[in-house]
Amino acid sequence: MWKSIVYKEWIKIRRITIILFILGILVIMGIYSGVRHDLVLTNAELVWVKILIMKDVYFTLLKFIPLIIGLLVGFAQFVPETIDKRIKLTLHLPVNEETVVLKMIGFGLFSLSLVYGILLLSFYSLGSYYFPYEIAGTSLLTIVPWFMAGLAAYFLVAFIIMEPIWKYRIFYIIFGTAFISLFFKGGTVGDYTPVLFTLLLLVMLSSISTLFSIYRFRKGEL
Amino acid sequence: MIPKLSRYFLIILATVVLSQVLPAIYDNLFDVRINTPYVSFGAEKKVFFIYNHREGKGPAFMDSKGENYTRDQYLNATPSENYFYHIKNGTMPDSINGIRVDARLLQRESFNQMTFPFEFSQPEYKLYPLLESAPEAELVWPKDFFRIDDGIQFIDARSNHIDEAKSVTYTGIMKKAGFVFPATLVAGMPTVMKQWDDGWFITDKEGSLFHLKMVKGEPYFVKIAKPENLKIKKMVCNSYSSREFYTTVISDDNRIYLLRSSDYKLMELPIDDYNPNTQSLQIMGTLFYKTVVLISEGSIKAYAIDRKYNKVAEYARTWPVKADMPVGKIFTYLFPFSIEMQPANSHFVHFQVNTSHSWRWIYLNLLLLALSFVIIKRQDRKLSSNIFDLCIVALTGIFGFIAVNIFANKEY
Repeated sequence: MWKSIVYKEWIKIRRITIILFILGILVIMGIYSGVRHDLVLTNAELVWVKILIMKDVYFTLLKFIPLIIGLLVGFAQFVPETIDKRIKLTLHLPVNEETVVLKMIGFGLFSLSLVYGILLLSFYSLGSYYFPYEIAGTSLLTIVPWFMAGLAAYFLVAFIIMEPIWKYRIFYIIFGTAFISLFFKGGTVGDYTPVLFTLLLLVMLSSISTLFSIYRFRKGEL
Repeated sequence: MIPKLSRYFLIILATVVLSQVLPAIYDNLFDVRINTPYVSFGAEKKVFFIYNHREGKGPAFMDSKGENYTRDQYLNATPSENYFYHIKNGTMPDSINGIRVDARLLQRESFNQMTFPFEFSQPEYKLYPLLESAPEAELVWPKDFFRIDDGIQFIDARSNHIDEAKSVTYTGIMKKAGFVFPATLVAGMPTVMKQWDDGWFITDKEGSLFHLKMVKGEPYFVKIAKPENLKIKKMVCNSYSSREFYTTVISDDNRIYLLRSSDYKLMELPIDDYNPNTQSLQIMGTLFYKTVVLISEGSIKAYAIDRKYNKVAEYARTWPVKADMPVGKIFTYLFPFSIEMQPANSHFVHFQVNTSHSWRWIYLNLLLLALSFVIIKRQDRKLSSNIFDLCIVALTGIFGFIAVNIFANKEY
């Protein structure tokens, strides 16, 4: 069953995932070509002074990219399921509904993790080419919550799209927006470091939320 | 079972999110401006002057004896502080308190330093520039930055490579002076917008204090004597033209010391109620006195200290804080607790749970609990399968009530 689910989900999300992945890579390359430009064309120490002393965040361009990826992959994967209520077909298969949905989410999570992993790795590798680990590592810790927000957004989009009743969808959109806002409170580099684990726990709490809507979908609350 | 679990997860998540978001929205909508008075010690009349901002009425001046002043009376009573005004008007006295003064002398000895609670808790890169402290012209940024781990390492900014030779030289000199790597605190004033650079004040693994700077390209590194039991928590460096002290040292037990420039002696200020978690520390200096002001949300304490570091006067005042006002009281009726992500005393993000100081929230919690019973009964649901919901509402009040209702419990 895994194989057929992977195939079905991959068809839905492949185009958008690849496009967004390339976009992410281009943004990271853009950020570091800017850094390289400044290091070569101005005095290199002034680039460091801007970062270390003026607390300049040189990678703000990346801020909402993981969030956009999470949202759009979620849309691409779950909107088709609601057209003509196609999900009902899947849920009527002689297999456990929860397992099917969890596998769908699992595949999305796997794809996103792969994309996010490569983006984070490229960001850190390019960062450590130009900067010592104090800057590269702290910058990495700063962007991690943005990627967590992307994962949370993916889970919530799946959950909200699968929610059958519009009244509740609106509540959940408001709740989801409030939740996502927690990942973007910061102002300085490295400020989220003490709460990364707590945020991860919160993301994990949202991970199986789709089961809540599916449960009701299945029970015919339409 | 798993769908149930997914609902519980969502409720817990929503409760956490709401306990951050709702109090933050409330605070944002009903914030109150509290004007902190400005207090300084007048060298001429030997009283504290208090400057208050009054909404729509302009400033009000009074002294610690309760006497009111107009703006002009205040300025005329404090020439050693407001010398700019007197120079402009040609009313500058020749001498103050029997000492011949001129504007340059007064300006040289004047400074104003603020240390906020968040400065004790903020992210740091732990990379520092070592400027030439005696440049021929203006200060310039060095080409490299240093870190102090097992040794001191200078990293060239252009190549991102370690300058081995320089690192070995400096590490050797530091070891020779008794420095035990790594560093615990590195304090300085990394800016070129000043006239000279005093380098860095560094504590080592054992808590000893050292001074590192570069003079004519050569390292200067000395150990600074300090009492054995003095553990340093924070140093605030300066480049005041009086060159009286290098840095303000705050100890672990919140005592305040000034590290005197002339002899590296730590001069303790006679203040024993400074709390850096809740109070901002302001130190103002003039030719005659220092005014040390501790400012918290609802109080101000000021100490006048003479040039020999003896306390000559003190002043304290309190005012109502937000919690005492109607908006603050309503807050305690609404929310049993709140989660603060950006507390004022830190530049880190936290999940700080602020519990209520009163039990007023219990009324709303009980009301919402009763309402939950009614809802459950009306929807003909079994009490036994709603125990979790009821517990959440009882414990978290409005947050849990919203959470259990937007993620409604359905029984089929």
